[in-house]
Amino acid sequence: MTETRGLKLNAITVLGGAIGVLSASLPWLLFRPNRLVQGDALAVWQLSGPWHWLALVAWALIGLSGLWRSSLRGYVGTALLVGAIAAIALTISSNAALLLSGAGEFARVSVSGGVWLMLLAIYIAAFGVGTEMKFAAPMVLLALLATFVLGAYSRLGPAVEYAAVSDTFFTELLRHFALSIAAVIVAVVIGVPLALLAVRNSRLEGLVLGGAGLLQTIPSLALFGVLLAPLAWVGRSVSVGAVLAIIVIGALLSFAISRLPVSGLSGVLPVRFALVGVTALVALPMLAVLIYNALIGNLGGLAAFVQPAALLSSAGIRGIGAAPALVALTIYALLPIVVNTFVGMKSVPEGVIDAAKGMGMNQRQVFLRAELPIAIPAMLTGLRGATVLSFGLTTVAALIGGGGLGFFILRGVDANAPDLILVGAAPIVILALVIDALLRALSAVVTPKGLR
Amino acid sequence: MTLARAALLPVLWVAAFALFAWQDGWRLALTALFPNSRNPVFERATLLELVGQHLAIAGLASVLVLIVGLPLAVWATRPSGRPFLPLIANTVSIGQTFPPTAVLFLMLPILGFGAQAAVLALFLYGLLPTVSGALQGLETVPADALEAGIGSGMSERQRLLRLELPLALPSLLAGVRTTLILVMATTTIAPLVGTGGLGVPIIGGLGNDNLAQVLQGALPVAMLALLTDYSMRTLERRLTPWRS
Amino acid sequence: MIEFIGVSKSYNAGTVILNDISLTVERGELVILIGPSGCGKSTLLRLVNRMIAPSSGQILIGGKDSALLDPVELRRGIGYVIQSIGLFPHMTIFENVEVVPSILGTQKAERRSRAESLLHTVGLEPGVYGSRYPRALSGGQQQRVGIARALAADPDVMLMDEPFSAVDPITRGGLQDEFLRIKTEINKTIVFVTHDIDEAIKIGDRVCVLNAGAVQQFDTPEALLRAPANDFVASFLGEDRELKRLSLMPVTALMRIPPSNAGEARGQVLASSSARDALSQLMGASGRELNVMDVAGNVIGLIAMSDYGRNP
Repeated sequence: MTETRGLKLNAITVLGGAIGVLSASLPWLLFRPNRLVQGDALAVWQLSGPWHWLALVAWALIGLSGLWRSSLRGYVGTALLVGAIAAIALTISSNAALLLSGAGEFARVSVSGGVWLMLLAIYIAAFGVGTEMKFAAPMVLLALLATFVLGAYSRLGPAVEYAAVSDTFFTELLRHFALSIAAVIVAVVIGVPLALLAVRNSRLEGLVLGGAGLLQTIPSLALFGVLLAPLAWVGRSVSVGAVLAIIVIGALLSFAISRLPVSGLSGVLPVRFALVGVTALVALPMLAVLIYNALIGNLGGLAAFVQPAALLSSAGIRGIGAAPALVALTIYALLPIVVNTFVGMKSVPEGVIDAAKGMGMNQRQVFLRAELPIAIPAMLTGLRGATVLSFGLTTVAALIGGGGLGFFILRGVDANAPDLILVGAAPIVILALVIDALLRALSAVVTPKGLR
Repeated sequence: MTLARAALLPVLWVAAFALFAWQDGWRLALTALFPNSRNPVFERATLLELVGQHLAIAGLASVLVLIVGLPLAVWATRPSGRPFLPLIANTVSIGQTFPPTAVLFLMLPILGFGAQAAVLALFLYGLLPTVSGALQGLETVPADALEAGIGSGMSERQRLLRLELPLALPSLLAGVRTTLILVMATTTIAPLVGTGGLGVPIIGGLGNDNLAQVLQGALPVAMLALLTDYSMRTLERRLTPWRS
Repeated sequence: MIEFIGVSKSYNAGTVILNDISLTVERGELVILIGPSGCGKSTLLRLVNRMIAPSSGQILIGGKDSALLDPVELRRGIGYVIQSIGLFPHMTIFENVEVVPSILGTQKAERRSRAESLLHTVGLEPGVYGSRYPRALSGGQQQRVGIARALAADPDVMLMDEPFSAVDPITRGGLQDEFLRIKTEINKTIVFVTHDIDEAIKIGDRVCVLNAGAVQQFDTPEALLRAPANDFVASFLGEDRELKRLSLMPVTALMRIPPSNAGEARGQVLASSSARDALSQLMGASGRELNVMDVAGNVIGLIAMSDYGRNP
């Protein structure tokens, strides 16, 4: 038998290096005298300065390091990768400065296919090197962040576009967050009780889980569209006081039914359920808009809710704007919340509940002390899914006048300015990843130690 | 009874297309619903044409996903592709955190405007759930069944075709279903990057406050999505009778 | 016939699993491999169908060096039954049993009739179970299917890796009885791994006791119980090994041929009983002797406590 000596080749690092070298076959930068013309794509050999050649050499060496059977290759690979990032950043900043000097104020330089391909190569190579050197990925992230902070890309098109809209950027960012968070809050308020109901009542199980799944299937833009007309009508014809009255009556009736001596009868639960459902449906847009207004600090919008005679439209519930977006986002956020709460509660072993009852806990204590801690990891998974989902879907809200980062995307599309589109799209993707990572960390902290 | 159930799916699809083709019906209904609207019906193309465009874009992207994604997942779980499995698995899991709409637009500066670019973007994003589902299915084939398969003298190819792929089907098909729904939904937004489809009347209608046209696009998209979902679930049940 | 010639197996880290094993399993014989966990018994079994390769040594199957055979072809000629059963969940019971014949290209009708007769052999009604999926069967029923599947291609050799240890004790007893019956019908060379000494004694023609990768003793159950080769084997067999040996011995081996007073009223024991069962009855009965009866009801002998002293 032959004995394999040392390490195997690191195929992923080799692939990363190869893609990095291959990026030379695509243009790296794009120069346009103004927004409207197609512009010139600049291939590698058309660039000036030594840095782009150094970047390519670094890529070649990274690829070769994957073939080098030495335990040092993890460190060497990481160093080369950081070097490549620095070289690319220097290529971009020096060439952008050169191209823009004396080119007029409407001239734009953007990165092109080759640089995007190198971004892919950085990810793959960092992954490959990361299997051998634990700190490779953090180092690469740090290097990327450093080039960003040091202003290597500050002359590029997206940065210029951002500077032009920086006064509204944070308003839209806040709206984006407010829309998605308000939707998640309402989804939790509605979804968790629904899931608990489904856990306790197997007849409702199919209805609740199936219903949430069905709604999730409908494309977001279609749901936004379908909601427009009814919400517009409701806004025009229903007053704030009427909704408040329905909510109060619904709550009272529901409470009254629960106190009826016939509560054991099978017919009562569906009636009560339907009542709660109708009330929740009426309350949903109002609750969501209320939370949204509170989150963005829109006091005028809040004030409308204490004027019973005012129409709902004056409180912001209209066909266009935040209301349909909030309703649709809430509906999408429901499924992850409901399903994961359900799964979490179902995953509580029968024995645990039995034991908890056996030691004399009442229903409330069983729930809080035994069931909830066990169900919490799954519920947090649902919360994470709902938040990331609704943060992404909020992009579409701009189409119905709801605002958010999608606003810049639409303006970019209208103005045929890909750079402006990036100003909207890139933060959405990056923030979605950050939110996902933060909520993962949170759920790791909250999960009881015994369940980790 | 079973015959009626078997016929339900084709009947639903035929009914849906009959409804899409009934242009006058839509005109009547939308005019009645929105008496104040001047153009309650999208006129530049018939609804059936819009549905056709929509399905062509979404269908092309989905077919590409199947052609590329399934072999990719199989290769990543064979000895030759195994070194790349962690990379592929990690990529599809991170990638699915990306909001599909944002990805569509993020691709725009890279791929450019137009139908081809849109199909490419939809294809790239659509790969994620299919590859993820297929990988999950192939990686969770029961070890005892595999052991018994090897012990019975199945060749690698026979194990793949007779054991691993059939046993991966539940997960794999669920992934494909997610891809189809996602691609179908995201295609609705694709007119913004320069394609046709049912998103055209929706986005146009939103732009000039024409709720009738919004509805004319939104209802068929919702119907198509629900029908696709239902069809895939039926297919999943048919192909995996051993599960229930 | 299976011959292990100087077989060793070790892993890279230097862990030795099997150390220079040589033993021969005769044609048509059922050999039990037994020992504590980690003794290498499963490894030894899995070397036969090349699920793993030996580090050194040779394994001859029917006189041919198994290392020179194509592993896939080799396995098709060897039935393989494992503890976790490993029925293919997506195939019906019929399809499960027909897997190997279908790989080998046997005609559908022939496959099906073979599967039906095999299901009969393992005690499952094909009309009832054939079209079901594995999840609809109990553990014991699943393992019957596992055995039928291993027999489907009519292999000369069967390998069974703790096939009955995942089922409950009562089902296990039933499966063992059934298996003893099947064994006489099929006449295969069988290597059978177990950790249950009672199972080994009950069904093995010969038992190979392994410890720390080496053969401690390889002999018939009776010989093993009568004369354990070393302290390890003795303690592995247990303090009650004499009782175990009695369970292998028919009562007729110990009884005395009765004198004329045969008709005297005594307790009775059937001639087909084991010496151990007769002992149990003697201890329970108040009388000091039992009549040994044949099936026709004739007294053919007498047995008393004192007869156990002449233990052969």
